[in-house]
Amino acid sequence: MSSWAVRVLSHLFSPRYPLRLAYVLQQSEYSTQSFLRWLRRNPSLGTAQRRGTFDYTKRGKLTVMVSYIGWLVAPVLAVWLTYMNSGLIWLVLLLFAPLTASLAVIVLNSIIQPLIAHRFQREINAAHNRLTDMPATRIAILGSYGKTTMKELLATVFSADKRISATPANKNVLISHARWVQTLRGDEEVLLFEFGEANPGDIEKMAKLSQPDIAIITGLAPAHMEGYESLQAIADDFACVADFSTHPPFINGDSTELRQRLPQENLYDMNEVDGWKVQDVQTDISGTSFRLHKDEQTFTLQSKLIGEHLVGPLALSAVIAARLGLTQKQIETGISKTQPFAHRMQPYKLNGAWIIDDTYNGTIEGMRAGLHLLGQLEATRKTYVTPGLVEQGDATISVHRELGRLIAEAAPDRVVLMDNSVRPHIQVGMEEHGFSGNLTVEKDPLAYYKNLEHHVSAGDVVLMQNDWPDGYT
Amino acid sequence: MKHIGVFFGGRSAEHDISIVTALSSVIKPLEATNSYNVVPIYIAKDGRWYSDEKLKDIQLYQSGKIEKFISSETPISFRFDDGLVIERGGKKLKRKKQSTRIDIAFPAMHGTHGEDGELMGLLELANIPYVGCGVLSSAIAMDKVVCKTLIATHDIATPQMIATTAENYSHDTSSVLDSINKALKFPVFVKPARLGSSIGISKVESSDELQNAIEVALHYDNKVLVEEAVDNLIEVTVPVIGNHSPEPGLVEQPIVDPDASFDFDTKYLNQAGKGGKKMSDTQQGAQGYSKLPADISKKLYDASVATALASYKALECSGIARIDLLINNKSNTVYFNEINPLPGSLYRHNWHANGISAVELVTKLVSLAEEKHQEKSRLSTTFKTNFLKQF
Repeated sequence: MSSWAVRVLSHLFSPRYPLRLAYVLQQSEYSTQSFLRWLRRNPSLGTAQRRGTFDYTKRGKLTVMVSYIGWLVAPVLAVWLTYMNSGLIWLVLLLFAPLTASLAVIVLNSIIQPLIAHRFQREINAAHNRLTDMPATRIAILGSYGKTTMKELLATVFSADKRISATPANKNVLISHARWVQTLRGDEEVLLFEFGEANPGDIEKMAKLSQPDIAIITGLAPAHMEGYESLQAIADDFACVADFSTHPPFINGDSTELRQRLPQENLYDMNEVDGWKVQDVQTDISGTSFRLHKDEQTFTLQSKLIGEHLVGPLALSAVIAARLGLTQKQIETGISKTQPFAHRMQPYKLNGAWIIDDTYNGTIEGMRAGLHLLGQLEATRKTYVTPGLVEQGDATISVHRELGRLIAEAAPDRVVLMDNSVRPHIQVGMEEHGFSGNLTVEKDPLAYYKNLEHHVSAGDVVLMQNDWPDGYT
Repeated sequence: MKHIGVFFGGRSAEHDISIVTALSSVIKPLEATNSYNVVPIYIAKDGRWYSDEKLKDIQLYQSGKIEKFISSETPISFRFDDGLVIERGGKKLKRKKQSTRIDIAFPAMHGTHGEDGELMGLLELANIPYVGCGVLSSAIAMDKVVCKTLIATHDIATPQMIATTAENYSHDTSSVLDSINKALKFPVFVKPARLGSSIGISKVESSDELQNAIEVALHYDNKVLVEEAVDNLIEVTVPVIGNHSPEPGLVEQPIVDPDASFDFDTKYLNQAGKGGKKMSDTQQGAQGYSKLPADISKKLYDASVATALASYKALECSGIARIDLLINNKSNTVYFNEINPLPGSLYRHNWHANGISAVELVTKLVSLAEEKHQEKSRLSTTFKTNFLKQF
């Protein structure tokens, strides 16, 4: 038997298998469809739970318990059949343990889901009623990428003068919005809602709840393509926010995909925002600076965020802040306080090298922006590290060839790809566009990240984009 | 993939430092290359040798569980079978013996019975490539008296010195003290001749303190060196890599109290200068904090590099070494102080600052080892005679 087969069997019949099943369901946000997709990709769950830990909520505990019961059904039956002298059928039955555990988890989820959905709806209705009575300006932020950065920018700039509250971290689904609303004091002046999209209709539901005064669409790229049929379907979902927003949404004009698919109105980009002109843009590893000019007024803005692609969001933050009544000084101070966010174009020093951690970036547009910056930076040696992108659906090949082209254009000295299903497509793109640097393929991404300190020295710039979650190979 | 044996630990005062060098600066980068199977070969304080994957984990040593671990393990044995083969397992573990052929050796041992040429002798007998200096240069580097005597013959400046042995000193103490008082100008440094990491070194301001300092040094070694302190002192150190065409790292200036020597605690424990201050324009390296590159004139910088390279060649070093230098800032004289054939943690912070990553450093060292071995393999070591027929 090959070592691969031994490894798969050892995972399938590991006593941790039922726990991994529960973990995968939890990571799939208790969506049976996502859970089954994960199982299809990696039935042995060998790579599951390498990084994350199981969250022992009430529902989580119940799922673990049922998973173990399901897993034990086969051996218990096997023992009984042995007792009944039923021949070797007990041996066959033993092989079904992983299957019975999976079935048990799916059945439990199917029973619980309607009950949970009913409870969720009550929580959402209560949140809606509470929001109706609140006077705060509501800002909805949505997009395939860049929405967390936009939310954090607005929060940082507004906090100079406003009582603000924002949906926490990446809690960007409907039920987490509803629960967050119940935690508000009621006297906030600005509320920031980050909308996450996974399936058609998600944006509409969130917009109905939040009823935004201002909406910002930050970008469009192939993401969650297993939930959406096409890029246009995502764009249509985004566009529906206009039906619930007081003003037309701001649309990121730097996103080619958005410009092609949504009305060319109310665009913001690295050149202009709402009649304000952007001038003298400068960006390097220490940050970004530019001037914002309209009529007789000029803002001089400096941020520690890096990359030209962030000029548009920074400018929009300043413009909205001005609309909300912040003074020039408050706006300039607010922008100067903006810093790179964890794992989003976040630079840090390691052994004298600059590492740009962009591992939360999961879209081709984000990759494009990062590689553009890498091409511009001065360095003795440039290294680019990526596993590629997940959930690109039918666009998987074209997106990764495009990524290969972008890499070749940025021309880093070294490229480190991970040995996974999309790597060949990236390589084709790189080769077709004349990449001439050094290419390394790493088998174990986690080991590479842990050993990064051994690969770098003074004068290096390393850009790390995206990091695949457990369960993708 | 080739098997690289990393030798560390050993019967030396620098046992623990060797563990850190091996685990953090050799084994991890070698594994990160994905090009070698790295075999840890740990020599316990009692001199027994062990090999197991678990020996790559620093926690084993930090937690003190190493003693329990090795008590349950069978020490390895060696076979010189067209190379070096280690054998582990056997009766105590009740498991089948496993043999591993070591293709390349990477000594990561500091001090006696490792850095002093003894291990290199074993590896020469096994006829396998090994990283770092050979038997001769390692042995010479370990004996400061022999080393400085040899260096002086190459017209490289080194402070005035007098050496004595335990036997001489105990036999005629007053005569030894007299000769030192007459020949050398105080202050002087008293050092054990064959110990690294600044252990047992004292700075002596007057002849009253001399006897005590020599006795301290004789506690660690039976050969002692007394040498003049350099006035207007700037201490610098230069790592060097290569075989026939050695290349320098950056000239580095350890930060120490000017009135005291650069002792073990300063090097490895304080992680700061003697005053305990962390300075903003400094860098933390294997030896606490230092200025990197050294804050000296270009003329002195170039002279330091030239002295380091000349010393490296004079002592016939190969692979890697670190040369410690003393500079008289007024006379602009650069003195050779000592050479370390295996710098702690390979002095990787210096190479990092010079644009060489840990992976590149170990890869280069392995390739230098192979180059040196190939060169040696081309030499004839036997020839036909009819000498035996005459008997």
